[in-house]
Amino acid sequence: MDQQIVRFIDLLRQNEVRVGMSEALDAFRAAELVGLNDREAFRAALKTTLIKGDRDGKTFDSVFDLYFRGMGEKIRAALENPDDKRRAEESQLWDEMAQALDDQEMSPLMEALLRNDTARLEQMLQQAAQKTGADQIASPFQEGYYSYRMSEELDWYNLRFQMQQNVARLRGKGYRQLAEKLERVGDQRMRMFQEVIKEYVRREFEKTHHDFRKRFQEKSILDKSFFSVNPDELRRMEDVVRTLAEKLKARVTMRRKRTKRRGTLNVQATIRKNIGLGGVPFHIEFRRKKKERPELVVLCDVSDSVRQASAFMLRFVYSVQELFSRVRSFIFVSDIGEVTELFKEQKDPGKALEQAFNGAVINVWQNSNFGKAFADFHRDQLHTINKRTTVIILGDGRNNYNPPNDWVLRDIQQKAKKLIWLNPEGKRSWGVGDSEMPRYLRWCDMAEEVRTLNQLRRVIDSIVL
Amino acid sequence: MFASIEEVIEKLRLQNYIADRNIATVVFLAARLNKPILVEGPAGVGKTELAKATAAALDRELVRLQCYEGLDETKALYEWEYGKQLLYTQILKDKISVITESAKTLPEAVDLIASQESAFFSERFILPRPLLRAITNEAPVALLIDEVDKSDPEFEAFLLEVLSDFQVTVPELGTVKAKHAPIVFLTSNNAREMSDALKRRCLHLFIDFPGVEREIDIVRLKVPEAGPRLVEEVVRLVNHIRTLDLKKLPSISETLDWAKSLVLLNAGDLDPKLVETTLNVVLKFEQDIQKAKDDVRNYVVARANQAAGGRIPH
Repeated sequence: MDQQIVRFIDLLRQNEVRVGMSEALDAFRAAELVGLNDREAFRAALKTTLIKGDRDGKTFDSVFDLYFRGMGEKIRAALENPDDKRRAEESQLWDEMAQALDDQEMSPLMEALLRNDTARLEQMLQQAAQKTGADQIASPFQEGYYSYRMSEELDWYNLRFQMQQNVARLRGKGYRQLAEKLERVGDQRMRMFQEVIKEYVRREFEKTHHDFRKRFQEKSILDKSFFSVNPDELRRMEDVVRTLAEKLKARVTMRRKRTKRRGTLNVQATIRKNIGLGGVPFHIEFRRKKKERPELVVLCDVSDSVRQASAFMLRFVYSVQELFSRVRSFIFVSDIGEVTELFKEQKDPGKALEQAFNGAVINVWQNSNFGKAFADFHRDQLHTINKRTTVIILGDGRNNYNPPNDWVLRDIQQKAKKLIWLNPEGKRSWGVGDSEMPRYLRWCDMAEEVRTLNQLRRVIDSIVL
Repeated sequence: MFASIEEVIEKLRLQNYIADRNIATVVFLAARLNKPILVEGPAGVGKTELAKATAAALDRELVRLQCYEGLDETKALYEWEYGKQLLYTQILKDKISVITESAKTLPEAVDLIASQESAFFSERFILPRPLLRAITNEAPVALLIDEVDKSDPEFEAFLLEVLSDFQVTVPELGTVKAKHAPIVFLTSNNAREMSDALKRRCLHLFIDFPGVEREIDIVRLKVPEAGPRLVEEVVRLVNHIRTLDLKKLPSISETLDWAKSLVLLNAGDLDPKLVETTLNVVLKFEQDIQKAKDDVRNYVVARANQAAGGRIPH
């Protein structure tokens, strides 16, 4: 049993579950206490000792099923005829053949198949997997190869020949009906077993990579450009934004709690604490300094060319808005308008985005004019920016040859804590054509290319951490 | 102590707690392996209740420590009774002057006082808080550290010593070891992730909303005056509500409250109007109530039609 648990723990680790030595030891002791016979208790015992958070629970469940359930049920389901009468008929096939032929030249695999010997079949599959190395399968692209190698190992390609021979022999001896039955049942079983082999190999792979496909998708979506997503991917991206936001929040709260900051002497608390000591201040209390949360002002270009990137930016910012003391957001094309309230009222950021982008706030059908939008912002909002404010501008900087008004950025940079420009265009095209990036860049503390979720995440991380 | 998992289920049932096999296994292992249990799950599924029931099943006193932000050792472990110490010094002033009488210089007098120090830093002047009480108690106890996720990370680190060895260190007295290892429950609502170190020392138990069957059992047990039909309908409806996208999903405690309220209102069955007026027992946010209202009404009507269809053959 210990051997099995060791292998099982190994599989969990390969699925990125962290299992420490002490947890493994607990699992052994727990398994010993509850025993193997009570399946449910055994599972609970392993789970409670090995899995320490809800997050890994799902991984545990699927790996446990793959590993401890075995293929028995699957094989039986594949081979057995669902029709009761037929099944009873078929189960006698082997004995009938034994009577008809004095010597049955059948490979062990054929015998097991015809006798529906699930346990034996499972054992054979296991041995074949070990011999061919299918139990070490490392990539889903090898599934075909290992299915082939397993079939070869099981002497699969000889089966048909053997069966044909036996059918002919039965016919030769005059057992026409039996021959037909063998042909039918044998054929069907062989076909089903081919599927079982494939399934077996797939499970071997899943044991070590149980949510491979999902993880693979998530990973790739993080580096997918905003400009080339289809609606399905868009929805998945929104999910990923949510998980990214959750992770970031958890990390920030941990960190904020951990940093102990001492401020000035807290006289009241000190006296209170030392009343028992006759007011002699043995224990001194300090005020705790709170780490100031940054204020965020986001200016998003929502012209057609960059709208997608702006949408993700706003979505992300509003999913983590607790991390900031205040978030204000503006959208612009040529006019500039504030959408802070919109996001506050609309709990669902998707709906808020929809309203913001359909022209309810500003005219979104004009040509981009960064210069005008900046000048308006300067006139109306500059006084709200102070040295705690981080200003993020998201846009491609393509100004349609209008006056760039980059002096606005100079003024903002002087007043703000930081001015960050995020551009969904690649750095190489900054400054080409009507792009005013080089001019704007001079006044930015940071300018990044942001065209994927990963890039976006990095920027937001650097602001809050 | 429990001899088997069945015994755990049995004994907890006697305490009006219905444990499934998973819960029972974890409790059984905790008792056998002397390990604390970290219980997580949504609010109101009976995490605290489990600790209480287990304590009662084992016939142990339950020592409870409620965690909150800012909880520190002096509130959780022990505190020196400064007042009492001060009082004693005042009363014993004469005695002290007798002791220091022979001293000629100040350092000598301090030395003499120092030699008597242990009289003042003894267990006499210690005020035990829940953790120390749980450890030093003559009879074995059950210790419940409630809502441990609300405490600070520093406190969590301090808990580690207690949880792994069942001992605590009081600098002036030395290390106090538990006479009997208590059975420990920590509950968490996941306000924050607990540290790996703490998790490693605990058995982990996630209690989710129960299945319909188990919840029916629970309601029957806790609200015996409710009719079987009412219980089933209430549980099914609550389970239906849990599938909706709400701010706060109703938990077992809400189901129980609802069943009790309906019994008080003399309801034998659910009807749309009754449900609508009592929905605020189950849902705690106005927003949720508004959101769920129509859906719940449709559900109740559909169920009623179904039942009627079943009874009266066409």
